[in-house]
Amino acid sequence: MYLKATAIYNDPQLIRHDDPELWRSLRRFNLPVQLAVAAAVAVAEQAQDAARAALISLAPCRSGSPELLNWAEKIAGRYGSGDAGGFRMNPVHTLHAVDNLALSALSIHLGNHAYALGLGGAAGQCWSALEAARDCLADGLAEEVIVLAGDQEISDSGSKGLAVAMLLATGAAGQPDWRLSDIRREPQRRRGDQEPHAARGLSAMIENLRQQPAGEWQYQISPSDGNGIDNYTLTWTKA
Amino acid sequence: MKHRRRVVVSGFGAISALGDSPEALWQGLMQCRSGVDRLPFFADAQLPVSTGGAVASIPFEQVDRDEVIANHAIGQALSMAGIGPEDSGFVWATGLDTFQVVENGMTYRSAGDCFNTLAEPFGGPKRMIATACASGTQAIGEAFRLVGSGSLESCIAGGSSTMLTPFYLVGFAGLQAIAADRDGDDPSAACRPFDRQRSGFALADGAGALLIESLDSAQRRGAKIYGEILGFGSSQDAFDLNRPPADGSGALLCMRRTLADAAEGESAVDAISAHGTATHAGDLAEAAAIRALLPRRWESVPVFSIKGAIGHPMSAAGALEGIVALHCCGSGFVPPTVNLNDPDEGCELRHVIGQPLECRPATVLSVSFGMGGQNAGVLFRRFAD
Repeated sequence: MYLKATAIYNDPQLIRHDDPELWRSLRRFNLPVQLAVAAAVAVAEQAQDAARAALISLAPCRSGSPELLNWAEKIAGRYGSGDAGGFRMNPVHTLHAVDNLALSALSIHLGNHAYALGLGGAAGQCWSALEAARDCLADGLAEEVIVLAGDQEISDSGSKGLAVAMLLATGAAGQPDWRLSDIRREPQRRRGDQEPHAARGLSAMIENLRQQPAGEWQYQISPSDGNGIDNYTLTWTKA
Repeated sequence: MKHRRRVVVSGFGAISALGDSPEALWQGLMQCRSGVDRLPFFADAQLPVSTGGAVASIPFEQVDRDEVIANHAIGQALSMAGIGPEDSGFVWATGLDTFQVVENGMTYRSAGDCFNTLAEPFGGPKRMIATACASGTQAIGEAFRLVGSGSLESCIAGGSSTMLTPFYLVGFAGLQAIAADRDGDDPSAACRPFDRQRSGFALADGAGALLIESLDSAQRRGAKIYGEILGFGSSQDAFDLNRPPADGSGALLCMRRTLADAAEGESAVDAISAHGTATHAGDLAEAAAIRALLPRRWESVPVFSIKGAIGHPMSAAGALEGIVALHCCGSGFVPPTVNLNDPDEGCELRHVIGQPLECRPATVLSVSFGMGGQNAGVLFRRFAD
């Protein structure tokens, strides 16, 4: 499985500045979704046929929606006092709770009807996403896969977001020519060390990858980026 | 499509508004009973919706209710199959983060934390499926692929949901997806799939788990086999975040891919377990898709939805529907769609109304269509060696 393109986004203002039309379609969403979809759109431009690529999304480990948190607090207060009648929640903010929101928004943007997999906001699911991408390509479901992930430190309007997108493919890639040749998973059983974040582990891996010379490179996933159950080692080869 | 091993189901577990076992679910359906009811504490709080398909045996105030409900179904499936988790994969949907009612208000529960707690005993791949209402069916399909490809011998697949909370009742009411309370309404009839009087679904809790195994492994162990999985398909509407295309084209694509994956034609479909949530647009689109899938047979192939009986347990729905599909193949009967009395214009299908239908289906196509436009389908077949 070859890595054809990557994108790392952390500033929604760049989306607004660089692609106002895309921003208009994303601005109602929560920050992790805005960033993840924008990153995915960027790597999709490198795809041979983005409308036929399989899509694998990672839900945020945190909702990343201050609006949603605000609604939850309001509803809790009104519910506790037995006064929740007539309460109407903004439907857009209900969508912020939906963990396949980025996947849906991307499929609409790309006009993509292909195989799709949404993975949830559990710690370490980003490595399951790479396994799923490998399986998808091996099964012949698609020739290209776009993996996208966005998350936020806390559900607060001042919190920074981070998103990663990767374009993976069966065929030889352009430059740089990276191949993920093995994903090894072994029992770890050290729950409690993780810091759940959909995108941070992938971002760290990509940053490390960029600095590696040609040849084989084994990347050991740090416990903080894992699921606390399994220990992952990825083997990358650079041509 | 690569060569694939035969894949079977050797165990399952269920907990829903109709009871704490697969048998209770099946018997309730066969008796045309609804487990949806008025929930007094939601009515007392004057929520716009106070009906739901609650799991009565696990108190709402129990803080780890999400884990208990899921583990109930998972434990049943493992026990029924006689297999341990250490050698199995775990492909599961725990739904969305919840704000659960506790004694002193509400508390935040992370669906991701719940998933990893449930996943801990399992030795194989662990995938938390998040494709909204399609999650349970997609979990079965993903596990089917993993086992079929030879990546592993067995896998627990399914989903659980504890979204029957004030937060989601208010939220989904805002989306006009659930049936709001109306004076004089029978709460057990809140969800009326395909019916002229339908007004949305009833939110529900529950869990469904299937132990999916290679045929070789099941036969080697001497395990009882409850059915075979022939194919899995998925698609995306790429249309709208909150409604399907009116012609059901995304759903149709998913069903066609399911049959293609099974290397079968439309003539192989003996019955359909519909998504059937009782939303106005969703039921119309689904009916259109089924008629397009079966252009010459849609008037004769039985279609049913179990959501009139148990409500909509979101990420658990597809798994519970899969278990019912296996029962259909095994028993020769398909259940009626509870609360369907008068099919709406545009929803014309061979509905099963009022009582079970003995039609001896060898196959059942089970489909789920998620909010946001992710669709999934699985074709089940009665097992024959």
